Amino acid sequence: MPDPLLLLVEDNVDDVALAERALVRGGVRAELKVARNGKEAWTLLSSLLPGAARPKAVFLDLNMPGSNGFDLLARVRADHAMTGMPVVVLTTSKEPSDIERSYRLGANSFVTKPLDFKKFSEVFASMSAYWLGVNETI
Amino acid sequence: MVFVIRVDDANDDALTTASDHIDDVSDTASAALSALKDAETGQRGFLITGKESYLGPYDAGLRDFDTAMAKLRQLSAAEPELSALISHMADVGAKKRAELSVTIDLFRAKGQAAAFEHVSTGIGKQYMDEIRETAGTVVSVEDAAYDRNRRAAAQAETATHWKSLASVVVLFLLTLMGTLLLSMEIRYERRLAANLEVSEKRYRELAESLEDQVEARTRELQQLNQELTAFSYSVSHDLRAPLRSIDGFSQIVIEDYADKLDDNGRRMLERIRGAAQRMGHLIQSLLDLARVTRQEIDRQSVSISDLAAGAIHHLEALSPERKVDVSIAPGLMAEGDQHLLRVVMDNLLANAWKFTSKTESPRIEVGRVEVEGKPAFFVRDNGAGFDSEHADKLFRPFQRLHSESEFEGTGIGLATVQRIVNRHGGRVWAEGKPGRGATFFFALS
Repeated sequence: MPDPLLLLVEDNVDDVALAERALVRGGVRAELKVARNGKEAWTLLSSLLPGAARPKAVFLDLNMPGSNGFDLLARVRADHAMTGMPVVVLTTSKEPSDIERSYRLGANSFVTKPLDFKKFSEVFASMSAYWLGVNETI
Repeated sequence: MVFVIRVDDANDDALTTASDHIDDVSDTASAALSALKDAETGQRGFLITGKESYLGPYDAGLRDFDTAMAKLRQLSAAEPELSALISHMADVGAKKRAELSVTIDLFRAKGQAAAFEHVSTGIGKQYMDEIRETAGTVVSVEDAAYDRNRRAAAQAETATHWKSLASVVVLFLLTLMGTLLLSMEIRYERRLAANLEVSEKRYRELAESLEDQVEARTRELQQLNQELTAFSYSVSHDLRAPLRSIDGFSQIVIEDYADKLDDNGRRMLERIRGAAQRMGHLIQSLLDLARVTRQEIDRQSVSISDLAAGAIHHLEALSPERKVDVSIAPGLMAEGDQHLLRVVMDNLLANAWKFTSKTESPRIEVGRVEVEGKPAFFVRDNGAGFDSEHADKLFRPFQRLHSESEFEGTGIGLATVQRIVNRHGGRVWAEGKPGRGATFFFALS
């Protein structure tokens, strides 16, 4: 059986590398797919064949060039087939306006990326494990 | 006042007195008029700008008017015709005063539009015109009185034999001078009135252009504030992301190259990580400071005692090994923004906590005192203190009175506190001595 999918929508290549590292460190078994902006993520999600495994969770950065995180979140929630997919906003922002807007658009969770890599690793790995586990029991 | 001039040996004196008197009445009538105009100018200034400072000239104008009217009453006591004019002037003056004070009350109670509406009824102008006219009549009555006085003197001259020609010469000169002075006085009064009209118009134009400037400036500031918001937003994203890379890859080097790194290499990488963390905190503090500046104030009743207890609880959880004697006065209440006042108490108590870290038997006290009749809250500690010579530096961003190696911090906390207190219309200040602790006071309006 192939590893379950996680989708990371992130334009910062360093953050992508750190996230991959965090999964390895945390011993999380998952395939991490990466899209560099909202548009790329949407193309990837909509190219999945009906019946094919969907990501167990989408980790979504907000501030990206072109199509940003809010755009993708709105599109996912408006799409009949994808509307129930867990989306975790994972951003550097702590702005109350970003938090409110994310939840209003239907984010499952809002997490501020810790600056400290050790904390970031722990947070990213445990979040991934959580959403992988939740989906298994549903 | 009736001039009863006895032309005799003493008539020099009598005429001089009469001439003085006429000058006095004209002067005083003009002064009363101009004082009332001052009061009106002050009232207009207040109505246009809403600034209390214009009410100074307004009050002074009314006082001068009262003084002038009292003097006029005294001067006119002996002459029924003049006396009637003065008392009419006083009546209309009282109405004018009432009208001025009503517009000011309207402004305070219902705002500028209501006050302007009252002004636009023209009733105030009507009173003013009436007073101006009455003052003019007073001057002309005095003019006529002077003529009578002169004629009486002339008749007296033909009826009786003048004992000396000198008296006649003096009388003539005095009459001439008096008439001259009086006509100069009238011209002066008219010019004064015209000047007042001109300066009032100029003043109104100036006030209007000031208003335009204020509006333009406000728009500019609003735009700047939006730019600042956008700026701090991008600071929060673009400046912090590289820090995570610096910290993360330093850590990865430490983990993956452990066998190639000696202790020194590891220590240097740890220092890089430490610096990245500090910069992260600094950026966060700057963002907090910017947020405090633009956040709307939502005033409500806030328990300072509860906020202090919460802050201490948090500090104790962070360093459970520390034993600090904390005393918080119960029931300290303030009117302010709950969220922002929490930031104030968090900062002040974190400072007290930090600066007592090297003190034997540390003590922190939170309470309230009366300062100049107003309540002020205080946070007192017996920690490192500061030199009160530098007290003003405490609240400036990035001004640290202790080196970072001694007590770590971003140097922004107290600047944030001051900004919050200022936004509440309050005041924050500090007292301290090196090694003898510090007390921070704040009072909200």
